[in-house]
Amino acid sequence: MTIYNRRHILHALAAATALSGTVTHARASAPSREEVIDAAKSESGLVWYDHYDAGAARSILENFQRAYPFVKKVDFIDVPSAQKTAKVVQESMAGGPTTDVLLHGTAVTESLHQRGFLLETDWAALGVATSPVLTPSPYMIVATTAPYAALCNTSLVKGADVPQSWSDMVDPKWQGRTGHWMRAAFFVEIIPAIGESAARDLAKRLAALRPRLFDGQFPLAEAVGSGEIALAITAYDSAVRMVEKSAPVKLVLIDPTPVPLIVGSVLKYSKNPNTARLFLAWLGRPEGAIMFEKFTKRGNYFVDGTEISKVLKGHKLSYYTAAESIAQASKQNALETEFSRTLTGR
Amino acid sequence: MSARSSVDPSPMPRRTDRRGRTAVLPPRIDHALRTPRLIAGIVGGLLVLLTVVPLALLLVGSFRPDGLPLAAGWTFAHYIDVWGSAYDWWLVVNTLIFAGGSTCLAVGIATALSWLLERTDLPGRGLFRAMILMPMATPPLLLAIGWALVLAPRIGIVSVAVQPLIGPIDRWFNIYGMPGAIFVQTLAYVPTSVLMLSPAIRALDPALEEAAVVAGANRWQVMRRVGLPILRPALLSVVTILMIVGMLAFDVPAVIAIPGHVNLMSIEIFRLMTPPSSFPDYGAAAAMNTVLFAFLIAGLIFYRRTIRHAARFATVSGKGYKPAQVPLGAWRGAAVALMLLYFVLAVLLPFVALLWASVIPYFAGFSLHMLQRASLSAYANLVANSRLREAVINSALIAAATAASLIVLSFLSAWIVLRSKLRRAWLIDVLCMIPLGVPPLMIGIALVVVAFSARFLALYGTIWVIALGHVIVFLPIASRMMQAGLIQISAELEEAAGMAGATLFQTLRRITMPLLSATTIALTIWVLVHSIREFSIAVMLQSGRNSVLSTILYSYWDTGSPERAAALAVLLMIALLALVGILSLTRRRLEI
Repeated sequence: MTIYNRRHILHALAAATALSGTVTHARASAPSREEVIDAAKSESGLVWYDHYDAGAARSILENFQRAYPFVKKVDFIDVPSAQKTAKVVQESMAGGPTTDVLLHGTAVTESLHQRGFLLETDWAALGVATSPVLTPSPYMIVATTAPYAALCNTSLVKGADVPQSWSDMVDPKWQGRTGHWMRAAFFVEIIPAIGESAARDLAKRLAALRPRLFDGQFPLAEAVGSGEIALAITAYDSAVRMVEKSAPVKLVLIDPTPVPLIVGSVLKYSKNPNTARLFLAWLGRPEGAIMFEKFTKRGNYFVDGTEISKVLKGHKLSYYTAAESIAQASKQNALETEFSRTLTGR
Repeated sequence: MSARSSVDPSPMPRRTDRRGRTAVLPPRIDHALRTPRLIAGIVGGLLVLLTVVPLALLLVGSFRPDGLPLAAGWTFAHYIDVWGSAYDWWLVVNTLIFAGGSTCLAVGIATALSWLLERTDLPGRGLFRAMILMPMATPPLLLAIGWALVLAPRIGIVSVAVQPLIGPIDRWFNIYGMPGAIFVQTLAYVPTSVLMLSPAIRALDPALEEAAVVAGANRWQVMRRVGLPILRPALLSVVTILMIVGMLAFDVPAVIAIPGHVNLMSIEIFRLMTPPSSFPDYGAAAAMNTVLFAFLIAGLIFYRRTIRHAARFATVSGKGYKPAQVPLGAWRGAAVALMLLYFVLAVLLPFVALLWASVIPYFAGFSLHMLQRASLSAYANLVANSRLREAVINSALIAAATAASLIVLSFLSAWIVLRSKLRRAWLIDVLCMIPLGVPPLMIGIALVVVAFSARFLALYGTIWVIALGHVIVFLPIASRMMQAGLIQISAELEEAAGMAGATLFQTLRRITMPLLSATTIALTIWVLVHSIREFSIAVMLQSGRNSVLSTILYSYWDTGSPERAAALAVLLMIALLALVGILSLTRRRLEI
């Protein structure tokens, strides 16, 4: 029997108050579905800043246009992560126009909300199966997820050597034969499942192997595919790309699987906010999520019907909810810095 | 003056002003152009707008809590966090080793190559001049990737080839580390160094060297006590620029240094700007960047002291001279071998590696199995990409506009600094050098602010705002190249023209500019190539209507299509090689 103490009651009251405030706030300021569609019809289209393969992004947008034929023009602007936030913030500070829709981490999205750069949306009214994880607030929706996986070169890693746990990935036998992204985000994302101490230990053990470091996930996956390194912890979508290229690799899902969230938001100083709302709601529904996953290989675990939701079914996951990410943003950043420096031997 | 002078001999239409002097311009304009103050005022005002605004935004941003200049609040926290950390000071030292090592090697190699090209009877000089500049056609990121494919310990083309002979190559040399990073960065630096040093070495008056020989100096003494001192302004310019560019360089470190656990300032700045789970730390990045100003100021002080007596460095004067060529004799073969070795290391090997990467579906060493999977699908994809065609036109227009603007701006700036005798002329030089210490990202942010503030100009989202960004970024090198060329032309030539009745405009047009033609061509080559491959400014100012080749290439590389990035790099290299070759031949015809 669970014994509820005063702390539990206070937490429940706080959550209920926040939720009711959020819902009330949503009703007061977010337009209805009909209003959104009517308004979107008079807008000029959709502009989307992000960093995906341009062809893939355009295919996603073309499929969105098929779902909403009145969307006149769609434009994808490739902006890498280092420049994306600065560009959006500067354009917003100048009164716009800026991107209509932004996909980013929850902490950055919250920062933009605190600066007054985001608009709210009634996700349920737009047909999204809302939940505290998928739609944590009126100004953000989980647009996709970016799980991690192990990728092994099948010529160099065979039979019993294929790792079955994260400890196997940092076995001393991989000394000088493994690699990692220069960012240690994986070790932060696994903390919800294994705790900070175990994550720190894992980072130290990997650092002891002197892994080859890479400035991006794709170059890391390419290095495994080429045989320059034998195995690595990499992004699931990068690993899938290498499998599809028929590289001699094997993708292994290891428990617990870290699943970072990528949330979408509508910018206040965009030209087409209502079209943006429709786009994000579409991504939050199976038809949009499946299209997004088809072209980017990044699927939304929290939307039924996506490949990743089927692949990860039954697996133990590790992720921070949006609320946790926002509350712990500074701490997570400090941990990532610490783990990154550990990886580089500092 | 040399018999091969390129001064325009054609007669001009004559018109007489009130004082009886001939003029080709309306009198008011002609009078205005006689006034260095007016020219300096206009140029100075323009330079303040172009350079002080980005600098001010960088400095203001470094004191803002979130690092962006228009945000609210002030703080010293970034400076305390960055410069109170021993790790960050260690990064500065490590970065100095990287930048200093590659600068020293590049200047040494460039001086040797320039001397062989300009002062010896090396056969095939025209061809070698073009070949030495060809590495400029390769964006540093792709040059680094090419070398990673050549020397990667397990799959590198050369690594696999030599393994049966010497075992694993990383026992002898590991490309992934500080030596490898310095090596590749040096290869990237040499063409710029050659472009800046060659005109100065070509214009060395052999009479000075002959006088030293007659006085009993040997060749080494002649070089050390006559040649190098005269070359000091050009050498200082090159060293200052390469050091600061090296401290900010990220492309080569990203591919070569990061895998080898080498930590540099540019890598730390990149990490600060791309945190996985929080707002980018632009403030700390800006605070870290300010250390560059210390080096910039030191470099400027040295340079100013050196050129204080500019007349000492003039070698093109009213007295005629003919550049002498030193016969190489038995060393001719070694000299040719050195040229070819540089070409192989800087162009051929990376090109072959990129060509290989462009025809296979994923990175892999050379093997018969992969050869069977080779295809031209990456090239077919490029041809079918309509955005690429638009990007080619945009890149060409931006490069042409940037080159034209910089030739005018750098010439006027150099003339004011070296000729005008205005007391505060040195300020123009400082203004020209400021962008060297401002990261391209911050220049891009500044242009976003300016373009949005002046919406009536309708600049944002056009190719012209990118061209403006390129003018700012390349201004330091352009001004230095132009000054290095102008400093070697004696003022007495212009004074003689003035005494003969020529106006200032006539003198500049018929005397000074023709004598600077080789420098102008060199500057044009440099700007065209670097503008086409510049990435950081373009990506900040993209809007969908102004995409350029560099952003498309980087996008392919970073979003999982390295074969398309390699294919585009191969095509870009071929096109730029042709451009560099044609312009080099044109430059040769205009030599004095």
